[in-house]
Amino acid sequence: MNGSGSALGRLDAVLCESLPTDADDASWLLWIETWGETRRSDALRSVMGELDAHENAAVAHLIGLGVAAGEFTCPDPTAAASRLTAVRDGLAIDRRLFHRDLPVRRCRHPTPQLDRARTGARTRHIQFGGARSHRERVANASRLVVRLDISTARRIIVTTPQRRGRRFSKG
Amino acid sequence: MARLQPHERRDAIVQATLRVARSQGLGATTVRDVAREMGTSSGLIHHYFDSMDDVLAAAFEHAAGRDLERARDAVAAEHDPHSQLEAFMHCYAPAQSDWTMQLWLDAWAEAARRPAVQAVSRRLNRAWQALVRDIIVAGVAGGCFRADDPEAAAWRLLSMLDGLTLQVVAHGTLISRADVVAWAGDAAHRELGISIDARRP
Repeated sequence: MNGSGSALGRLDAVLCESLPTDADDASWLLWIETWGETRRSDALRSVMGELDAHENAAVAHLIGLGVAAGEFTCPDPTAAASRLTAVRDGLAIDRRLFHRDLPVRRCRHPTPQLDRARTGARTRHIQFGGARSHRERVANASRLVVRLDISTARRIIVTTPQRRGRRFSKG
Repeated sequence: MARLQPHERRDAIVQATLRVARSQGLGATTVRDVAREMGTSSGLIHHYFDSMDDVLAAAFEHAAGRDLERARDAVAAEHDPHSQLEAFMHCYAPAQSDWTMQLWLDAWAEAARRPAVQAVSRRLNRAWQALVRDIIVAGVAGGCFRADDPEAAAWRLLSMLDGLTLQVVAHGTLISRADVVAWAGDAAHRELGISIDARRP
């Protein structure tokens, strides 16, 4: 999780890159199938809990970096990380199982996760319309997703829960 | 076994399937298991259902559909969008808990290879989303909510709730149900500019 680039960009990379590539994504199917078994298997539940804690810590760490760098404020990075990964999981289920593409927020950016996380690369030139093929539509959609999910992430991270008291905004 | 009407027989098969699925999981439930549970033959089940996929789909729809109906009734009993959203949130969290939630997890796992189960879970998933979307649309029309895109707002709200419930149920104990309920209220505030209390009785 070390590297350059804004924390928000890296958060986006980590969360968006982990969405299913498409409706046939095999690794997400493995996750979905495993969720169903965790309550019937202590061993699986324990492994799942560890993986979840690990991911949560990694996302919370990135949020902490963003706070330290003054990109945004967040009173509870661990809780925000839970909410962000929750939205990701919910969207992933829709994408992987129900093939839901509209409104377009369900695709994964084609750039490998580590490269984007390392460089913090952001897609700046987004072109829509005129797609000649399904592949092109998916590629376009993927670029849109990155942008939309950054704004979703921004809202989730920078909006303080009312019950936690003070209101804060993007720094 | 007493002589049953066809719809009663189908219902008995569905109930037996749910009993078996409850102990061993939807995916591991076979025609033979259900027949044994009913004290009958596999042939009887094949007579009423084309395939085991259809049996599992009918069982899932029966159990999960009841939660949806309860939520619809609770929403219909309220007269303004604000109270309707609170009623919805209150129904959704418990609806996604415990046994029904396990059934949803099983159904998601089976959906990829069983088209009938996928069709039912997709239909229910969209019905839940439509229910909350319609409340949001009414609230925006009435001026008490603000949302640029009610469909997307409904989608994000339910995605987060599903994901959080998943963390409670399947991932272990990083967060509590109380957190989920409180965050559902926070999310509604963020999405719609309102304060709701999803914990109300």
